[in-house]
Amino acid sequence: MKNIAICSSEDKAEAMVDGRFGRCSYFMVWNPESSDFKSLKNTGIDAAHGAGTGAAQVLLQNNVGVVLTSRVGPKAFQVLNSAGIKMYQGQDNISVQALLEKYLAQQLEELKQPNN
Amino acid sequence: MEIAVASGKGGTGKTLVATCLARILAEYNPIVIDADVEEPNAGLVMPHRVIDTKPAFRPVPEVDMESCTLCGKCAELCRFNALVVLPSEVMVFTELCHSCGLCAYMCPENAINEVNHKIGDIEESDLLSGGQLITGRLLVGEVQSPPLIKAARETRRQDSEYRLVDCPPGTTCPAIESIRDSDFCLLVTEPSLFGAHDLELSIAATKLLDVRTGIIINRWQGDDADVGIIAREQDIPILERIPYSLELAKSYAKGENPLTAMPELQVILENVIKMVKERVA
Repeated sequence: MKNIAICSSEDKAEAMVDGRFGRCSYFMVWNPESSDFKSLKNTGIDAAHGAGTGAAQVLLQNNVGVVLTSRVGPKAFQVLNSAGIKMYQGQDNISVQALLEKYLAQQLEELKQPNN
Repeated sequence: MEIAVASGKGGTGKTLVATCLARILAEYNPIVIDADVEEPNAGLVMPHRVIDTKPAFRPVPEVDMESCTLCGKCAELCRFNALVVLPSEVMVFTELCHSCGLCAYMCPENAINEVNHKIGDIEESDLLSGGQLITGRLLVGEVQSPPLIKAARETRRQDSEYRLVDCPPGTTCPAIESIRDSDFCLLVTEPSLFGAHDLELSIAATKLLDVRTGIIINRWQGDDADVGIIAREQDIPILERIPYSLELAKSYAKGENPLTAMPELQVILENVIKMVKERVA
């Protein structure tokens, strides 16, 4: 099974989500088989250009199949979409854990186009 | 001698100074290079006849999927995240690529070739007043102007003793590409807080580039204000001051010869040329 990545402001599941995809501080990656989180620091946060494509590349290397994010730009969308990674519309002012639970309860809508 | 006419703040009078210098130096058939390729405007105020237009390119990677093993080396090395390696393809984002060539150089399978990507045109014209005008014109939608600026500066139909580069404003890559390796940089500013602030940034840039620099204050109204303080602190000479003149602005906006609207501008800029020559010699 593929992992689920959530854009996060800190490297823990209780942290609040980060609304941006390419420039979020961390990705919290949840493994559905072990039900464990691991954190990935988003090194693209300081990139002058290409933060979105760089972040998408990192997720590809970490067996991610689903991304929960509030806003994703056109280039990152193109990469994730081409790689078959599904994106779901996140929410603001919510914890990583709570957003994951909403996804698992099928309460989030799939993003069909870039929105940033 | 190549003189870069630059400024931190936009709209301070770079094009006015560069084109008036060209008019004054007409007998030497000067070359004006309009390096403000996102919005070239020297041709608007200098009557000219276009002789030739040539396309300008920059190299970008093209991946040969026959040879590519999807190893991911290119994406890992690219500092601009212009390549993304997917499970069955490599995506290239041309607009993010800075044409450094590292991916092609480092690809273990030699699967990446650099191919030409058109970014704009270089227009070569004869100035009716004497000399030439080289205009770089960036294509709409292109974001990497430095390779076009470099090509415009390297264009030589017939060399001249005087080359005047009308630079883009600011201190980012396009401005740096326009100023680097020139013999002298004239920083045109205005005596406002904004002008002074950006002048200081420009001076820091020309010091890094090791290009001799002098200041021209445009729209001067009797007071150097903060520009004077910065010039003293940074030890950069104020070469001349162009007085504020509504008549000059009106005539310039009509595309007329500014030296007619403000005859003293001729004396001011002749003095600038003299001082630049002394400093370059």
